[in-house]
Amino acid sequence: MSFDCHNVLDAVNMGLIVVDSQSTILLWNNWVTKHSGISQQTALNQKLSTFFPKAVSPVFLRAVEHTLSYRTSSILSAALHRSPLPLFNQEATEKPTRIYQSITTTSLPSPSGERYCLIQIADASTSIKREKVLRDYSENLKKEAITDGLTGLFNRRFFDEAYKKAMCASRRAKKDVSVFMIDIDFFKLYNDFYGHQAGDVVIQAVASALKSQIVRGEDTVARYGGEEFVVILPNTSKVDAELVAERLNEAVRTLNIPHEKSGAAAFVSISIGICSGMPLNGENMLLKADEALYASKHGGRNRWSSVSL
Amino acid sequence: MKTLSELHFDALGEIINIGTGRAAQGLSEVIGEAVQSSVPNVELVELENVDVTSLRLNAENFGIVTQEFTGALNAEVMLLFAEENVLRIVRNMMGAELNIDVVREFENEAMCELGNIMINACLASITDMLHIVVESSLPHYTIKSRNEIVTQLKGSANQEFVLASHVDFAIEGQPTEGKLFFLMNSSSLGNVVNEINQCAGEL
Repeated sequence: MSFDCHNVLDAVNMGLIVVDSQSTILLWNNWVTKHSGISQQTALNQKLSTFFPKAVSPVFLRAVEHTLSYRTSSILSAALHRSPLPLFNQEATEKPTRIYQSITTTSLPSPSGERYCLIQIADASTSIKREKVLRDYSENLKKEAITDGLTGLFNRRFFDEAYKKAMCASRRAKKDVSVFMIDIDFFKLYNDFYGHQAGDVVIQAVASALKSQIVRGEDTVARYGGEEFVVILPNTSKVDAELVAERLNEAVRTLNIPHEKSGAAAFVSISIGICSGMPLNGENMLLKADEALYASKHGGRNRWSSVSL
Repeated sequence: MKTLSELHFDALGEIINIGTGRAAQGLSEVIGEAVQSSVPNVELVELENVDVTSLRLNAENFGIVTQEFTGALNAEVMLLFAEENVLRIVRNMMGAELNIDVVREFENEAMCELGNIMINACLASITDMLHIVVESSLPHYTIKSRNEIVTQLKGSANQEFVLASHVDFAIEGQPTEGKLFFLMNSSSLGNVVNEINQCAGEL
């Protein structure tokens, strides 16, 4: 019983093209027909190099030529060439898109002794798409895990890590670091009077006001909890930190959000506690900043206080 | 035939030298910038003497592209790069326009292609010089520690020698340890020597 290989060639889910030593097309399987839109009858006996209606990558033609003259096998990776041949996804619902291809060329013996070149084309689109989806997904998860949902600032979890790193970096580089604890003044009264939704809007507004003033890439602004925020400014002295604090106070003031129940001002304001220095003996700068925050509150709020380590 | 005459070895060394040079040229064409390469140093090591020292495997891990050759030259050719440099090379190859945060799968395929280009360039120059015809398999890529490489080489059936070409590349000023190993048996080595004799006779 004989077996007709042609059925197999046409059933295979990859592109197969064979050319002879003159680069004349001898085999053109169904897959290639489907994705090139060029029928087998049209393709057979044509020259591969001049035949495609759209541009063929010269690297591809060189690989075929090299295989024909040296009998070497070549690989063209999807990573480097993406789409050497004008082959398209022909889904009825979508606009045809060019397929990303992994191509190999191998030397093939023929009955006459002449060498042919077998070109195998695999569709790399799915694996590229899959990788991309997975990567986007994992990036989103990574981002979500360290972001505060309400404000878009970093969350407590991220801050705790950033704080540890900043302490180590300061010790190592022997450079001052400044840590801020920030509290929205009389926020509980605001919430009770204007409602929780309005309270959330205030938290968001304060968060973006803080963010707008913290511009250096190495600085960190995070939501610490409720109406509390924290800032880490690496490589920043007490004097410079106080300037930044002044800007933060001002930025929140200029939001001009009325706050009838505030005992500090007619509008929403913040109190800031700053601790600056080098934590050479592992001092708790967060605690010191919190103490400074308490001093601000005690001093009438809508202001900053700062301490050195 | 266990030993090579000095003359033959010199001729062989010269041929591998030129081939390795062509491979470096292939690398520079892919990366799109000048790649400096040292003059390759060629040694013939018998498989029983293969170890980390005799093969001068300095890096801990290597990315390896392997292709098999059949015909007038039966050999397994391995191109080795210190693993720590592989990623940098691949990034260089991808260029700025293809700034995918390289996924392992792409990296492997890209390395395969790079090794393929270098090995084919080397082989083409050898077959041209010796007027021989050789067929090659498709490349495949693996990452192995230097001890695994030694174990693998020692375990290769039918092979007796490693013809090792050591070449140091400088890519973007960064030195990169590279090697080209030809695994052969004595009959294949004998064939090459015969071809060298014929070529020498023609001169």
